[in-house]
Amino acid sequence: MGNGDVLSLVTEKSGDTPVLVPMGRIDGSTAAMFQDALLKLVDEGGGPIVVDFEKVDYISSAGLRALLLVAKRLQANDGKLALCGMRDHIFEVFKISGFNEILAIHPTRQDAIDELP
Amino acid sequence: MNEKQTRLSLNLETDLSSALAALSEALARFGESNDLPEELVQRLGLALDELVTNSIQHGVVEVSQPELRLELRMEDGEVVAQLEDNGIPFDPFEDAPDPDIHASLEEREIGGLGVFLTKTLFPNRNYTHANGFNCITLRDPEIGEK
Repeated sequence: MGNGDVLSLVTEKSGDTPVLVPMGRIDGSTAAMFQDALLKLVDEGGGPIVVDFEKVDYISSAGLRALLLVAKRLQANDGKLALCGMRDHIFEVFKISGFNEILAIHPTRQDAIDELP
Repeated sequence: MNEKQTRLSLNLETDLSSALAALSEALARFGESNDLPEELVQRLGLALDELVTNSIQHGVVEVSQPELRLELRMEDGEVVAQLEDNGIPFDPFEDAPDPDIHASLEEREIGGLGVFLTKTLFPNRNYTHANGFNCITLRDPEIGEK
């Protein structure tokens, strides 16, 4: 089994807000790609950014680290990062790590958009 | 009828993406063969991913002939996962500080999460170092309840 296509990334738009849609697994071998895509959006617009987790099957600490780094940078720019669409087992990883206390996590993409400044 | 495969051992490559792909494939096969609940397979997948990633990124990089071995087995109604590597001696459960999971975004430090996740997911775990190998063992009842 090749690992080349374990994660793919698509950027959609909701109005002016970019919505990053990762599909597949965010682990130690793919987190760099995920982080690069996020940082590119930060550089382009400075936030807000929505990340829709609906098609994410798996996330490890490597993916959380990428999100934390980007959230810190966006906060420094006064931007916003909103996450949505997590399945239960994905949300559980955020919860154990305490990331539900420092990142905005919404049930649906629409909720995430509505809550943006 | 497929016979249950109650023991599965494999050598993992020290290329991260190959190792993680092999791990996930082995776990799926082992889980299916032993009818393990999906929750337990997912939890094992995350914990072993974190340990394998640590070992590859920090442990075996220092040695000239790295070895990384995984064994999954059923034992007295428990699932046992054992990971061995010949990297620098390191007990992740004692030598790595826990992150402050209640810190604010500004104060939250990047790192230390992988081991913390593993510890939280597997309270029943053990580390030894013998014959040049780090050996980490995780155990959980096969019904998958904590």
